[in-house]
Amino acid sequence: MSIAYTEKTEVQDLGKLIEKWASCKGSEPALIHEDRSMTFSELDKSVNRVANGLKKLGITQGDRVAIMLPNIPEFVFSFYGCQKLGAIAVPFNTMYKGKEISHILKDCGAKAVVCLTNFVSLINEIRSDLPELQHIITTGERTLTFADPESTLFIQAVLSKSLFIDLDDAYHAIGETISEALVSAGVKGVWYRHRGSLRIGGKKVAGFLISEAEDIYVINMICFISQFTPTDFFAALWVPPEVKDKIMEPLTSIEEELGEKLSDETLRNAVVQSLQKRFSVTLEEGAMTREEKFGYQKQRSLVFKGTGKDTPEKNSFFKRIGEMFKK
Amino acid sequence: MTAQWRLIYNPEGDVADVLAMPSAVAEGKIAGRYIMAAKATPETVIIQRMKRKGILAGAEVSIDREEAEKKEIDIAVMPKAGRASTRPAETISFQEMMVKSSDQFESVDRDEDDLAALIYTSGTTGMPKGVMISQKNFISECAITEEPIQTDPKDCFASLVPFFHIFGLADGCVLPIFRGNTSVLIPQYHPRKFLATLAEKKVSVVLAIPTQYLHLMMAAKRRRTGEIPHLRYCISGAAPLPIKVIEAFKEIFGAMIVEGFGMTESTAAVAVNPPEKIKEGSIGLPCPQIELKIVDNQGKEVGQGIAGELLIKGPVVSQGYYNLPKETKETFKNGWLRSGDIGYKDEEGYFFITDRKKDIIIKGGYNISPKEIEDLLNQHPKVKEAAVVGLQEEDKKEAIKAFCVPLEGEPTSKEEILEYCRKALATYKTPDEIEFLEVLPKSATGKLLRKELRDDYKDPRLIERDDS
Repeated sequence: MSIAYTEKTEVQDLGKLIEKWASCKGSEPALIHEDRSMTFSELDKSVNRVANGLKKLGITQGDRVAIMLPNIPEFVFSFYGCQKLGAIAVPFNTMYKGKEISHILKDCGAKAVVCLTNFVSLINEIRSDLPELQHIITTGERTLTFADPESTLFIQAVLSKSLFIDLDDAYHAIGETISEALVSAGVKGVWYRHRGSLRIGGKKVAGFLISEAEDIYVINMICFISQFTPTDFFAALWVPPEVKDKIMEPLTSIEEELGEKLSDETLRNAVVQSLQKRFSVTLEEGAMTREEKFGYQKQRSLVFKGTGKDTPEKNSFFKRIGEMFKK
Repeated sequence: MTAQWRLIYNPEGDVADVLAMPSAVAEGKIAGRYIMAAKATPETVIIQRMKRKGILAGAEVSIDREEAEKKEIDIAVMPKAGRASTRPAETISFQEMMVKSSDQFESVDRDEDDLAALIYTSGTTGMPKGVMISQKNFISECAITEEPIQTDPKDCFASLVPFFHIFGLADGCVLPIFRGNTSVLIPQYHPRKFLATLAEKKVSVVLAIPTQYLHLMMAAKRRRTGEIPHLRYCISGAAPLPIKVIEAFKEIFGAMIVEGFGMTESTAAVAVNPPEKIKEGSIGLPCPQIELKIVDNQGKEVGQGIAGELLIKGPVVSQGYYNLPKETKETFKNGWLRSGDIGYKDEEGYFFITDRKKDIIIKGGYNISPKEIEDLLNQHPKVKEAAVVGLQEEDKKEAIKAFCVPLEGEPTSKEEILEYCRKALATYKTPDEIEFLEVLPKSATGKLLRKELRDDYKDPRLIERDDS
């Protein structure tokens, strides 16, 4: 079989590859993801948008752009966007954690990292080690939170931004406050590092992410009160056995460190007291208002009533992009 | 007067509450500002415990609901992000960045030696090194695989290998676009779903690693899904594939698996085991424009059948490691890449790899191949797989330690394994220690991570306090 790929010799750099196909077979499919397909011409345009977007962020020829993504269209757009712009793509393993990520980002001096939204907390935590990293560009809705009656406790908050100087201050205040709460409840050696993790030794005992909308911060923290065993959860996600231990960060829990379980009461009181002290406020137990309950029911019905088997397909990235362009 | 905050305590919640409660409060707090509500939403803290197991998943996570139901796990899928929803503070949205940018861009001209990518690869020791891959390296990889990996313009590719790995990037992300083929993107690998995708999207060329081919065969057997009509060509890499797997796969799917050999430093494949004449255990013949040779410790080429280090030369060989001149000098010499693999060449020019140079165990002056011991252990009827490493003992002598994963339902003992080794191996090659494990540590592409088995291994994922 000899197929003529003769044109290939003309193209000597990757940035021009897609352009070539866009001009000679633009209407043929280049990428298929879930239920959408994208032609070479559409792919070329998407790559151009990313190249322009990166350029506006100050990325220039020779700069490194880290890509921490699975095989999704955004990977392809980012990789070829870098090529068109003359930037150097640094794709790396999406299972890397802690030091591995900080080593790579530091070593290559990446100016920007493109990652899934759920990796933000991993990068936030090491951001102080990375003076050259200016932008975290996020995509995908692949966050995963495991709720377990035995081992997880959620501490959440909806607070005005005006309570804090800036985001770092907010991370610091929350991290320190909850660390102090755990220490006062008898858990030794809890320390807060930077943006998002409470650790004992090198292992994580609690993690949190601060999101924002308008003038408020929404804080979501998961705290491990007893040893977390992910086996059942992994069955529902089909995680190959070889990578099981690579998906989760090394974890510990209050019970493992303390040698005994802490009652919910003790923990709750420790958290409340620590918050009261830090923010000089009193915390009064209360319920949601009528309006909040209405919003709450609406949210619950949205998240719980996922009809059909694979909701993901219905929310395909292409569709979202398509909708956004239509606006 | 001290300000008052509200505490909402929910000791018997479920996973949907984890999302719904703070969202409702946040919504109320934002809305309150606009409608000048008489009473503003107070600062609110929510503490929750669950009464059932649950997973709160982003809109794009795919979940096996059948399995979740069996394990009594609630599934809550987050609604897709809208304009009003919160996002991680101080980050940029990829989608917004695209929407706000023009779709016209003039490509920068690049020289062939300009870097296209840095691919970080873990060595036997230390932190990952950045391998510099140039424009020429990628384009050449496409060119040299044209003959051994023959596709036609109608072929549709699907890669199960992640694009962050050189095999996935060069042959899964670049190659189809270089050839103008269609690619089906597979972000999350699930054997049964992948089989359905293969049929539905008429995929004809698949890139995967050996364990994934095994998974696909098992899934096909369970579901009794027969041939996938369009599938005709599979490319395997990153680890060796037994010939019986290739044959069984062909029987089930009617498609050929072609095995390639390469490294990150050589922009993926430099040799292919030709389907016309596969040799078991061989990495095959060099691709066009590629020279392979076996050298001794002095760097002199050795004859057929004699073991030495494998060296690689050709347009796909990287310029070196980013910011590591010393390591670059050691590994790249006069255009030749030192692979660090020990192997030999047979009378027909096929190359074989027996060991990684750095894995060789030196005990009592003898060079011992861990692979030889592993091959023997793998043949034990009660062993699923095995790995062998050298451990540094206090008096600087190396001891041999074998890690075995027992077959399910086949209990065995350390003594039984040791006895088996004693019968088949010279005394100095017999393991000093046996340990049973549930699984062996492997990389994303299925490569055995021996270094994680050594006793001086430090988990790089841990963040220690003293370096903050």
